Amino acid sequence: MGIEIISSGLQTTIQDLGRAGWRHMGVPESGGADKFSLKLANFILGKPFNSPVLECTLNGPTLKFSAPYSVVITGADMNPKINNKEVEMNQVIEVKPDDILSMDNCSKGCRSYIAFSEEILAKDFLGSTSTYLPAKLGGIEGLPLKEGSVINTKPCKLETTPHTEIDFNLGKPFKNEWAIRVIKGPEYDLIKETSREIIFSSIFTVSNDSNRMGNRLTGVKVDISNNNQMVSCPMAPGTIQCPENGLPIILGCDSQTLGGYPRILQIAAADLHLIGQLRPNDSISFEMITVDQARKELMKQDSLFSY
Amino acid sequence: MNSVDRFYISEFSEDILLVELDQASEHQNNSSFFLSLSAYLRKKTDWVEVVAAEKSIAVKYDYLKITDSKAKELILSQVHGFDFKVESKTKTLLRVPVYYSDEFGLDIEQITKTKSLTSEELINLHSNIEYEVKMIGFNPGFAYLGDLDKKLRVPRLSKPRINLLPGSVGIAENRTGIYPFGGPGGWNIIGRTPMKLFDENKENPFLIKQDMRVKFDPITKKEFESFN
Repeated sequence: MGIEIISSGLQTTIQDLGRAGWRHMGVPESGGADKFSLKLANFILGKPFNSPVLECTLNGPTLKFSAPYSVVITGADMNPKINNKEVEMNQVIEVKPDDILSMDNCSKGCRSYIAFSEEILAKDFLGSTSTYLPAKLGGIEGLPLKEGSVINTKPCKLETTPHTEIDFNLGKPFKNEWAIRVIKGPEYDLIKETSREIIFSSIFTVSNDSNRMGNRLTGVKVDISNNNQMVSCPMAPGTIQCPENGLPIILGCDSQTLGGYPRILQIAAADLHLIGQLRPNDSISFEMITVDQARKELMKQDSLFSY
Repeated sequence: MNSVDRFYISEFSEDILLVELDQASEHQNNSSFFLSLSAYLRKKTDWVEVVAAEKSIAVKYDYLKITDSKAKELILSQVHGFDFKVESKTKTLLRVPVYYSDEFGLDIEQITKTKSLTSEELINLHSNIEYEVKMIGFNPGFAYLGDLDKKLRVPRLSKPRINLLPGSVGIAENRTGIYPFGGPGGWNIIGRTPMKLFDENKENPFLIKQDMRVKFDPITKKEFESFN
């Protein structure tokens, strides 16, 4: 059974929760850029959290089904329609053979996730089917989905029956202004005193030069003490590094494992999924919390939905 | 552990700890110390990630199974059981055939000109050394090998190339390396290996590993083409 790609959308890839454990070989974890929405899509269907889904970027695909499926769409609202009739986000949608799911642009948030009741068959690499475009790994030939191609699926066992009544706050609508919680990064002390206040009272803009590897910020320059002696250091998704030009970069799920710029801040893990929803020209401000608070917030988030 | 190595552990994030050495420690400036220690830590416990850089290691733990203070304690006890001399003895040598030529060595001409070398001298300088793996990163499986002979040291290209061929051999500053997948890269390219550095059907798909030394063997065009 399969799902035909009538049109691909801007960049639609197969993603799961990623391939952890290989950063020492230079392999980033990848997976959904917004893992919260990805997990939610699978949870509503009653599938294991790590099941592969489609990640759509800014503009969604048009799909034709060759068999009946249950479908759930989470994340950014790209006005999904079945046979030209609007359907709800964060809800189980039943489709019949020859039904067509079409999606449009989103105006808030950047990525939608489409989960299906059957398992997507994709290339496993180091325990994950996630597509890593820079090295063409995982997914279908490591590439974004192409018009005219078919995603093959096979029946799979569900963890539970679908969750038809979820708390609606879980997939809460996105905004164009984001307040993101951060903790101090290892080189926080390199930020000049005057810049520290500015970082937390200013609004940054997400630049056009943003993708799954990272989001570049503009609008405010961060003054870093002259320390060009940085050697290559471990990085992580959510690390905010600051090059000499003073314009911070938030590292994404496909980012390099090592880097040479000061790591000034780290996105709190409980807010990391929101980085996957930043779209060019969105505003972003930062709020500092302690690492202990951040850990509590993370555990709170984990308990929002579980099997 | 050497008595003059003092470790310092700090919090990188909710579930990542950073292991560094005190400035005065004996191995603070030994670039293979952390790589060796990271391999040791990976053997000891099933950490989520252990990533080594030149002067630090990031250890990611499963925060649902172990608290931050327990993780810190565990790392400390493990680093104290680490003996650099013992662990660094077991390195295996990997020989990598390289076809050095203008055909693939896009920057040979420029380098020989600026460094006043002949192509033969360049090849000898590059292939006479047994390199150590200093770091793995940048791209999947990309190993930073060093140190390069001082006479061969050139800066990175000011504008990285978009699409290198897989197996391209590059140099930059005191490092040399091979691009396993090709793709974008800013190092000066001096040749190409026909050897497959990446095989996704293997359990560990990467040929070059942390505990290896690497030596390059010059080969002819014919040998390059008939390599299997």
